[in-house]
Amino acid sequence: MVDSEHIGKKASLPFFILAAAAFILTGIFGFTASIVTAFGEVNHDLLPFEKIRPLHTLFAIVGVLAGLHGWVCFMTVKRSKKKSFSLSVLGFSLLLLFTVGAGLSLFFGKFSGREYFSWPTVWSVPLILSLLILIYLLCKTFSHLYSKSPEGFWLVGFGVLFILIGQVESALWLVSHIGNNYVRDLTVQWHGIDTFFAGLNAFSYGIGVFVLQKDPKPLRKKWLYAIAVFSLLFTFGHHHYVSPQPHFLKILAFIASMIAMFSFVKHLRAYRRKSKERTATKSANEALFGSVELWTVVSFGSGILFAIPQLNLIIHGTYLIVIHAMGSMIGVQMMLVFTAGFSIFKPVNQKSVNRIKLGVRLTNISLILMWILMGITGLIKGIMRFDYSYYEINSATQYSLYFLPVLGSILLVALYLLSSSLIISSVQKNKDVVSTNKLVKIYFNKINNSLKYLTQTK
Amino acid sequence: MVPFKRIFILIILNIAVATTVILTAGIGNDADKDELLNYSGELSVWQSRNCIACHSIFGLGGHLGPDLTNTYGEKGAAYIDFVLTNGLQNMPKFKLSQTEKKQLILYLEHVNELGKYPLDNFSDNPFGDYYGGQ
Repeated sequence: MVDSEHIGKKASLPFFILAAAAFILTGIFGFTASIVTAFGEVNHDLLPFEKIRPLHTLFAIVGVLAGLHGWVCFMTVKRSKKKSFSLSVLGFSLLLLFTVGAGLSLFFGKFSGREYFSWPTVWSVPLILSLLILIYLLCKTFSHLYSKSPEGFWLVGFGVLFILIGQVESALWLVSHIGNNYVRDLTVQWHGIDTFFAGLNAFSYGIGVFVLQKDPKPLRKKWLYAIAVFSLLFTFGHHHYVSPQPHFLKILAFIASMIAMFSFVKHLRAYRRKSKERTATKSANEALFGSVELWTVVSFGSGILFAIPQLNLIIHGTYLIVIHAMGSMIGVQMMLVFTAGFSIFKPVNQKSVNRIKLGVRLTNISLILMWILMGITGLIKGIMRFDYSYYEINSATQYSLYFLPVLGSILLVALYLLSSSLIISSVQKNKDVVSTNKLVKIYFNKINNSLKYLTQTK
Repeated sequence: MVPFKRIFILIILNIAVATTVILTAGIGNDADKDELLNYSGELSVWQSRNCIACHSIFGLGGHLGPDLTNTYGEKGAAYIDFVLTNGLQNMPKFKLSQTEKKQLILYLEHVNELGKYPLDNFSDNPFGDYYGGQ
């Protein structure tokens, strides 16, 4: 009888390899972007910035989505029959098709020109189909997930639907009634982006709840649910207060963002309580989740601060938004993907655990330093632009941006350590017993014996 | 099935909000279709060249180049044409046809009429002044 967990791992393996590879590519394109940002004259014809930026974004999204897919496939396939395995293969094929198609299109300069989703919109079709398969697989395993954690199931459930709705909404610009009206297009676009990333956050965090909780987490109380719903529905307007979107949406966004403070305070208290309970020696997953909780607090807190309109006036359109959105938020999701991956494919030995912890530490260091660097640069730009031109602001802030490639390289090393550890953990067969050195010795002996046999035969 | 009920309510409300956005946003801001697209009806140059990677409008987009919301109003069509033809500092020369350049200039002219960004003073209304529509 075949071990069902083994089949579950087999189903999720390609997703996590894709996720690890995508994160390394995210780091490479991010590092390249940091060089172009710091030394603009490096921008050359083969890979100009208008290609580098969307490729960086694409692979970050692919990495997170692939990891989430992988975890769901593991949970479903290990409990269900062959059909789920076939569906997981189909889901992977569609996700891979999307990745390759969108990536090549961007590399060859074919764009939709949309923010964050810059690939030609036709490539969103395989992505949406893979999401539909994911939803079907989730429905198949819902009773098991619900019994494990009702709150985790609610997060994962609405998360995946929000991701799907956000993607579909992001394609609505193709409808002429929306696409031909700049303000309508802008407002719908940012509602779609907000929905998509809110879904990604919820889904990732839901998986974190499943992987690391000790007891089933009950559903949140009704008043917290009401706050969450209000925030999820109306905060989207805070991304562009100053644009000509309908005024009532801006007011609702401000109120929703401030009401989210209740959830934030609860989150902060939980983080402080867990920090006190944390022990010195921790597993790789505990190190990862500790980092997740830290950056969730930073991302959540900064999001509320930036949603205060007078503050938003200064920080909107600066690097502060970049580090809040990309650094904290995507960083959190990435860590959760690694958490999910290492919960399925355990690190092979203590050396591997140490590599993962080093990767987490380097990620934290680079994000903290990026926050400081981009925070100061962003604030300077935000304050100076009331009185100075773009070029004067650029002269004032250019030297600080020279540090960006240094921090980008630290993050790239961190991503390499985490991704390579995940790939090694996932492809090795006998994780509990065989170390890498022992494996090499076994293979060397096999080759040696084969050569001896051949020489004796002659 | 409480979680299913909660998820269902949230999704329905989200779709309702999205529908409200489509119905209420941009009233009175319709642009002539030919102005925003290439004259052949293809994807606008702004999108096909992915200008948003480096530039922003209303602060949304890339940060490598300047925000272009009011560049048409402040610098004029001739300046934009010059920059597109010859490049400027780190912005390379893009090999655009006359039609493409004209289309981009029209696009920026339209955006310039929609509002002001960045605002002039810290004491300005952080929501911009769009109460009566444009």
